[in-house]
Amino acid sequence: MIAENEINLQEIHEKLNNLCLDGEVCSNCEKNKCLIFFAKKVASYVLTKKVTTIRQGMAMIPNHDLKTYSEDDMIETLAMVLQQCKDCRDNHDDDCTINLIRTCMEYALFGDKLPYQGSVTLYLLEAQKANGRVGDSLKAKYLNRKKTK
Amino acid sequence: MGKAIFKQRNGVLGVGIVTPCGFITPEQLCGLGKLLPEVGALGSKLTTRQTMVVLIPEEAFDRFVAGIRGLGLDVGVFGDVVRNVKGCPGNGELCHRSLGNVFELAVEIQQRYINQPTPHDFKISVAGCHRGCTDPHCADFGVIATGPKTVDVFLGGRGGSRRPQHGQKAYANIPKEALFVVLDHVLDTYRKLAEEHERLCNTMHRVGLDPFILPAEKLPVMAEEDEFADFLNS
Repeated sequence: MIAENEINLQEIHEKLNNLCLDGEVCSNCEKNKCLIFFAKKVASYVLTKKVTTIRQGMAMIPNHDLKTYSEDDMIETLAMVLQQCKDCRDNHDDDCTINLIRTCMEYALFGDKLPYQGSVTLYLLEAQKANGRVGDSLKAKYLNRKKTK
Repeated sequence: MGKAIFKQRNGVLGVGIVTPCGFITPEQLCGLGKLLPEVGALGSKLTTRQTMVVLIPEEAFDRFVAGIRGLGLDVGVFGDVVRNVKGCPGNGELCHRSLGNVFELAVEIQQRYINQPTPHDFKISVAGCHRGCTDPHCADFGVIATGPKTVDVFLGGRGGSRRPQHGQKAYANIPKEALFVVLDHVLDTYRKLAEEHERLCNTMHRVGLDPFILPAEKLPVMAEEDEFADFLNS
């Protein structure tokens, strides 16, 4: 569990805003059926309402979104989100706003949900298991961001 | 039921002072600094339940009580009653980790419930996050904030005895406003179902958790889920 002032979603919000094409390319914006739209809304909600969790948020994720997203963009955004994770371990809450955005990126990247045990390190291992190439790239991006920030 | 006054082996009185969840102002602290030597206090001890026990000669008791009352403090409670509430400094101005303003909530619970009679001593702890600095799992009624407006409630914990145990999660993510409805229900049920001098955990062991659970429709509704859904659709 994290406190509102421990997380910084501004950068993630900007990134998600850039990723969202507002229907220009999608031809018909389906809003609540879109992972990026949902993630963007979560980030925007956090910035507006200063909350850290959204009850039942996990159940609202549009996990049937089958659009193909840019792998590089998803990896970069996921790395960005992982940087905000506070490694809550036993206190991990699925409805944590960071977890909600992370899960959206995960569906977009892997097409499925991976186990998350409240630890970035364990997650990177899971990602590597799910897809070696993407997992390696995600780890490199995450470590690089950590080094430079 | 009684006051927190304990005769010590050496004959002096240990008098427990209760504060709003352990919070003492500089003026009160300075006042105690003057009062204690004046009444011939031998010393004082901070307790695990956020009170302060002051060791004073028996004959100085009345002067001491008048003195602490003059500082806005009071003698604590002891026995089969709702005890003083343990609350963490989780609010908008203090602890960075806190998920909600629980300090004010804990003080309000203490003001409303302290010294109410119960079958056995009844301890309440309130924490602003799952780190649980106030040991909410070890209280009869433990409260842990899960967000700015929501809390989890754990029932039947106890830290001491030969069989210490953690409380069971009885209510998850209920609105803060529902907490008083829940606490009233838990206390009423406990008074009805407990055998003489039976601690809550033992009553729960006999009758189960169910009688202590209020149906969801009797709890104030939380608006947050709808609020996010509205935001999502805006």
